[in-house]
Amino acid sequence: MDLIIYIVYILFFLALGYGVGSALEKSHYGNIQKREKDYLTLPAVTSKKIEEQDNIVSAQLVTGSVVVSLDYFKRFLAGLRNIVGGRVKSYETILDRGRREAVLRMKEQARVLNADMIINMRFQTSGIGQITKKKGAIGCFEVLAYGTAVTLKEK
Amino acid sequence: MKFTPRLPRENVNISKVSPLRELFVLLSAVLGGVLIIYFVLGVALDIIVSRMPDQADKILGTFFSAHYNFEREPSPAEKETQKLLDDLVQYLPPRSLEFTVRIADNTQVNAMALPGGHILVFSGLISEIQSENELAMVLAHELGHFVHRDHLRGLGRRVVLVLLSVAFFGVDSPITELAQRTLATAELRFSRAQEEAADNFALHLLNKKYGHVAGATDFFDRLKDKQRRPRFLAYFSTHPHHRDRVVLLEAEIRKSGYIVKEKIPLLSVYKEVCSSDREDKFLPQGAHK
Repeated sequence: MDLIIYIVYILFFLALGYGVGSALEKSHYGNIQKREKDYLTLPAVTSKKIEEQDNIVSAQLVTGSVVVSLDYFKRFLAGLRNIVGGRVKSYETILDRGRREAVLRMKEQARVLNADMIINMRFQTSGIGQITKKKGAIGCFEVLAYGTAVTLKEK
Repeated sequence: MKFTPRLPRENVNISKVSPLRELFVLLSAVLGGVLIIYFVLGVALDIIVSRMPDQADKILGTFFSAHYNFEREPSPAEKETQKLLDDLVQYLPPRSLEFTVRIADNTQVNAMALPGGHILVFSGLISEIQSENELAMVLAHELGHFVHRDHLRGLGRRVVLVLLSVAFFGVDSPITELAQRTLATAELRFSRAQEEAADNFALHLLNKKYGHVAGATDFFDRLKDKQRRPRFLAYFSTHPHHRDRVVLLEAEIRKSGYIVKEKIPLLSVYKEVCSSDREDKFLPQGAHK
């Protein structure tokens, strides 16, 4: 009897996680794609030096960070993956959204500074709180994108 | 080098697998794996248990005897029950395992066979017994479980389950906790085949002791109408196939050609255990059977 209640409890949260999680994910991706179009003219590159090196008027650090958490469904799938091994596909969308969102926030900061581009861009991902396999672990990640926003001399 | 602003056409960083399909595949793989291992180990366990010596039973018994307080001095009623049990045991092939019986103070109607040759009878059951023959039948039935090693099989299966749960889900998982809790319960539910085998064993043992089988079915017959009573909860939850017991026993009686003679009433020393006031089921104090 205990087992049945436990299974129902798990199924409920799985359904909730899947339903709400998928809906939120879809809307977030839509939002991300729209903003990425807006920022097409503000490139972010990972190179340290650019051709117009001598034309740089001002340079400033810009950062964009976002904290993302997993829903129950994704965590359950990852738990199963932990047993058999292989790619944890359920985490991929979370991290992808995190990275793109972080880049967009960084570009927002750069736009406020009227920058032309961001150079020397880097990513940093870290876990927040306990992400080890302990009871009460919260699967929370912070994705940070940082770079140098440069303004070029107008030709 | 000219920078051309362009969006990527598709997202290579995410897999196109539907998460529901992934869930289904992974769950089937994991659960399937667990079930297969459980069955294979179960079969291996059956083979091991039937070859296990009595020594192993004794070692397991030490864990249970302390918990259920078998070490204490027996009461007069318990001494009489032990005499009855010893009398039955003498008809069994010689073995190194000693059988002890105690009466637990519990209004539930039940009797348990614990590892190590310990039989625990609840006082609730004593109050429902109306003759010595019935009590002998109950004891003989528990002896049957011991001889067939039914309790060891059940215990072994549950140990396997806990080990599997720890291996797959980790020590902290609630699933492991659940499995550990079922392991802790000594009240086993034996399979239908095991119960039938124990009943037949008891019937033959009863006949060996008394020369007839009066009282073999009486107790179970009376229980028929008591299914909903709370005092019988423990009995009916561990003996779900109760209804057929009487039928099967009567068939076995006919097959073996056993006869029924007069039943022997319980000694009055059991009065201290029973809550029942029925006088006719007791022999006067000190009367010889």
